Amino acid sequence: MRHHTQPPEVPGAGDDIRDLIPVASSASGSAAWSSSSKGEGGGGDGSGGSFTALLGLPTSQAMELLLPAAAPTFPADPHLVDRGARFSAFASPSPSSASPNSPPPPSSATATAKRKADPADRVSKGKAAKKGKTAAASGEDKDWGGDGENDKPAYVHVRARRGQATDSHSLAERARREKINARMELLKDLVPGCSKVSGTALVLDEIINHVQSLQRQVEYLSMRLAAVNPRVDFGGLDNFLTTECGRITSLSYKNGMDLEQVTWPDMGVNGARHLMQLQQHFWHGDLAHPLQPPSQWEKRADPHPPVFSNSSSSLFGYDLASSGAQPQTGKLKMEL
Amino acid sequence: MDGKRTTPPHPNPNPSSAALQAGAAAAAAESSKARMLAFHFLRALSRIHRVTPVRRRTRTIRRAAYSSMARAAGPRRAWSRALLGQARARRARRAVLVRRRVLTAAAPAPAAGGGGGRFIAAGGETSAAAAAAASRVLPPRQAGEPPRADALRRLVPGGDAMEYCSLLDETADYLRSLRAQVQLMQGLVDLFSCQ
Repeated sequence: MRHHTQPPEVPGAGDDIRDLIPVASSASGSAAWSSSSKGEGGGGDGSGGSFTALLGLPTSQAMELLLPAAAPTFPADPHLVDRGARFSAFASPSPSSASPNSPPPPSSATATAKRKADPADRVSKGKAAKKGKTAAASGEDKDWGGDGENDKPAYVHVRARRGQATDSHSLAERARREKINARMELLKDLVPGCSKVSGTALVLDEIINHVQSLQRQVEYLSMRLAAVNPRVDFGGLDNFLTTECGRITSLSYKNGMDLEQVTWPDMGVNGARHLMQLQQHFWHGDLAHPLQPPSQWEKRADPHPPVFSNSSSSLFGYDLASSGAQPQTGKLKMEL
Repeated sequence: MDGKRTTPPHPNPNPSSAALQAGAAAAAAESSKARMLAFHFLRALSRIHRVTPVRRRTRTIRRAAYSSMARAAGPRRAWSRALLGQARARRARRAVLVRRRVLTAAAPAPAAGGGGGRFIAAGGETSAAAAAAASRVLPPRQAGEPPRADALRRLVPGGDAMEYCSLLDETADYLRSLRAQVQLMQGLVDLFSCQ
């Protein structure tokens, strides 16, 4: 329902509208104006502050107050804004109620449910109904102090759809459901053959089966590893691992550097020594104890660190390939 | 894990260094997390082959796999913390059993104090674990969670005390780590059994 004060022109009527504002304010009285000004001063974001004043005003005045704040951001279509004003502060389940008589109880005003700090992003897209909703809600949030969630810099924006309840409980529920759905999507990507399955229960079943199969695989592979040919001499591997991989892992911790450029060159008999020189060439910084970062995390958990056999025999005590078969090193290009 | 790859080590005609290269390739997997995994697991594997008798190796290797998985994941994940806590409790319990066996065999007085102290500490840990297991009976604040979720809780370590939302998160991470671990072990088995 439109008041006679509604400017008949279309958008660029900002000046006319602003002229109307003092009229409206004087009409509505000082109380509303002061509260609205306080709200607008309190709003630090681009939305122009709170719209609490709108709660107590009739539609037309609400719309007029909305307009100057909206003019810089909204496309300033008065029709849309009117609809937005109608929807905005009156967060009852039926959005068609144009009567502003009873402002919604504080439950809807504290419809916090994590709003984004600036609705200016939201403005450019979507209908004005949603815009009004988000702007109003963020304004309300700011003024009512909300919960502690207002102070969080990063909001999870919950888009309240048209016709849906906007009280805090259902909004929080919706946010939670969206989080859960996002996580389920991630899981569906991880589990192979799960994308065509629809319905949460089946997806969960698939996930459970997958985890169980992976655990069974671990069991089976550990059994096979236990039965590895004991002729394999792991002594040299100890030495190699502590010096080389400890250094590598500690450095990857420290620098976060990509170690992909360290190509493992052809190693002859002195391969290990070459590698150490190569690494010292790359990082001439003073290296901490190479095992430091992993062992810190480890010492907390493992009170009995494994004793490294200080065997001077290098890896070439391996009897591994003594039978002469060609090890398939290409297979170890693991995809992770 | 990022999708970058190391240049695959070209097969070396020199057989004695092939194992070195393979081990190095296993350790120099694509991302740092995979490297950590390979590092911890290979180290544990070498120790196990040296120390543990053949009879109990499978179990020990499996536990070592989970421990190395947890260590590579880091302390920021709930499941890795839970796994390492389980391992620690198991070790403490074993130490208690050993100590009690020693005590019952020959009961010297000074050992009783140390054993008692160890027993109390382990008892605290195991009772905490028992309490955590018992708390599974009361479901932790789940609203729209499907009934199958408790099976998932049993699978994922530490899943009992989580909300449904974080359970899903932890499951995803656990799946990724499990997959990496399986790939590592499969590569090792292939390496060691190809002759």
